[in-house]
Amino acid sequence: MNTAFLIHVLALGRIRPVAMIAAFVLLVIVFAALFAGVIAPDDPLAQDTPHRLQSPGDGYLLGSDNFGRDVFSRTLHGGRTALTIALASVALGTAIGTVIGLASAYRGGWVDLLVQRVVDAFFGFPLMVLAVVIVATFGPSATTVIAAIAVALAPQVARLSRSSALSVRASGHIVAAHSIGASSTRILFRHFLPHSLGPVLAYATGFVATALVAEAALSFLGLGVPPPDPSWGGMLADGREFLEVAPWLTLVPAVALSVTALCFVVLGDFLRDVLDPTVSVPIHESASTQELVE
Amino acid sequence: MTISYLLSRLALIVPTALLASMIVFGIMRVLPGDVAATILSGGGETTHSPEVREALREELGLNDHWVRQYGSWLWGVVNGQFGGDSLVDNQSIRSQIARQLPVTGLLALYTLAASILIWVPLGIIASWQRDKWPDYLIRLIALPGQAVPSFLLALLAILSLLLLFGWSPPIVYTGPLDDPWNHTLMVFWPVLLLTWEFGSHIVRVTRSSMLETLSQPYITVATAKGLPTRAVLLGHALRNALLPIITVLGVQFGALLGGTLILESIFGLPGIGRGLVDAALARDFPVVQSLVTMLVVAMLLVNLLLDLAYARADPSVSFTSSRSTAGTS
Repeated sequence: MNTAFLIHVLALGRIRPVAMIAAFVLLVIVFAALFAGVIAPDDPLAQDTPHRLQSPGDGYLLGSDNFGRDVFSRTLHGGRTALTIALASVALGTAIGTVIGLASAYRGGWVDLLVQRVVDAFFGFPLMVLAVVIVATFGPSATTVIAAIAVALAPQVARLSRSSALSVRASGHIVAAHSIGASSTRILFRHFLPHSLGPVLAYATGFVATALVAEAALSFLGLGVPPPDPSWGGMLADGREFLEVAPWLTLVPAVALSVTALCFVVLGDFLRDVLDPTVSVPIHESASTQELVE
Repeated sequence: MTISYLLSRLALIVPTALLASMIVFGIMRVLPGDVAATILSGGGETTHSPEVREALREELGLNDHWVRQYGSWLWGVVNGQFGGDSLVDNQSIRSQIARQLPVTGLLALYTLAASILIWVPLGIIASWQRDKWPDYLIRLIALPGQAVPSFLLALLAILSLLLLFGWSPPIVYTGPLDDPWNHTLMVFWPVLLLTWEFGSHIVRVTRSSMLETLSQPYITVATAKGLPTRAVLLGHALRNALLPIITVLGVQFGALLGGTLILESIFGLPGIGRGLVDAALARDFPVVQSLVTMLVVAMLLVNLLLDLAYARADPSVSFTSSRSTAGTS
């Protein structure tokens, strides 16, 4: 990373202060999640039966739930689970998708055709539907949730990296690499990959928000990290029964989830503007123009 | 030409749907031995004898060769039974779909209609009043729809309705013809929230697509020759700004189905999404397989319809080359 790039980023930061605020809030959230064990005043699993459904303030910063567990500590630890799962699934999904997309574009011919049909078939599944099916089959656990979200995200990444690879396939430096007899692996990883990395990374940041929401939705449906371990979606599901008497059980994880997801969306938009030279428009518009070009 | 194109596109749905159903089948049969065990332990038993498990496997047909298993499911689909019976209550999947499909179908239809009727005009207004207060207001209203997942909005909506008005949505679903008032009360909130989420993408694309079109020379010409604003906006600009709007409808339709999946569970609507979650939780594999395949077919059909709308909106999109319209598929 050179200085010119840093200056570029800082200049964009002045134009887009919202992105900088989002980045700062995210830093705080990630820090809080990382050091949940130290910051949390209470064991997230410890039940304090006499003090059930305490309102925020007396003894419990953000109140206690129906088992007398500290909502603040549970939110912190839930954040750790949520971020771990979201980041891991996006990393896995991006890696799989990039390799498939690049290889498909590089090989071309019938391989490309076949791979694209399979990607199309996967693309036909709404993300949540595919995730529900996978988690339900293999049983709810952190690993399955990560795998499920990764598999659901991979086709999108594959399309993205394929289209960016196709655009350079016929360009001079690839032809030159071929003509000096560079191996397929070398061309794939040294020449195709760097070109696709920018756009893929930018989109990946936005996908973290998608993964966060998907994880919460899965745990909300009872298909996430099994209880009693805290997760935001699980807390939301439990809090539903006590909406009238203890609204904080719903509000606290809801705010935590929305703020975190929103920050990733804003940051993803910003990164897309910086890292993807072909895009100077908002995410969904760019997704559609990308497909129009294809 | 249109007919032959339509037929070839319809024919293409079959292999894609088959491939999708094979993917679902593959996912669910990767651990063949464990399916019976999970069903048994799902019932609360933690230990069960190998004989019991073996008997269940035999009964479910899990000992058959996988080709045979897939074949029998497929035969069930082809002969109009939508894949046979549920493992849990032995009800036919066909009757389940007949019960649940109208609920989800109506939800999706209401949402699509409301999104197009409300958000597209708002997007046009936002582009027309760029950087003035209507633009800011519309973008502000759209923001939570983009950032906050609809199931969170749903929980917050139920919470505030309960706290402020002491009101909660009805519990028993009725069709639009049986009891229109109850039906309206029941679907109003989920449709509102889905429209918020779905529409926020539409308004964003409508606005940016309109802005792009409005900067074209022919718009300046149209304005300069004294056409009323309405004619310029709707006659000249919107027509040319339509393509990205149609595309985003297709791209977001999957998210809409995913949204109904969770909202149906929250609002107690007996639709496909809830049926899928219940079946998945009960590990009722034939039901999951049939419902998922049906959702995929629905996605493909919607995208086909949008492709046709695409060609309607843009005369330069030709029917003969399937590649040129493949963008939305």
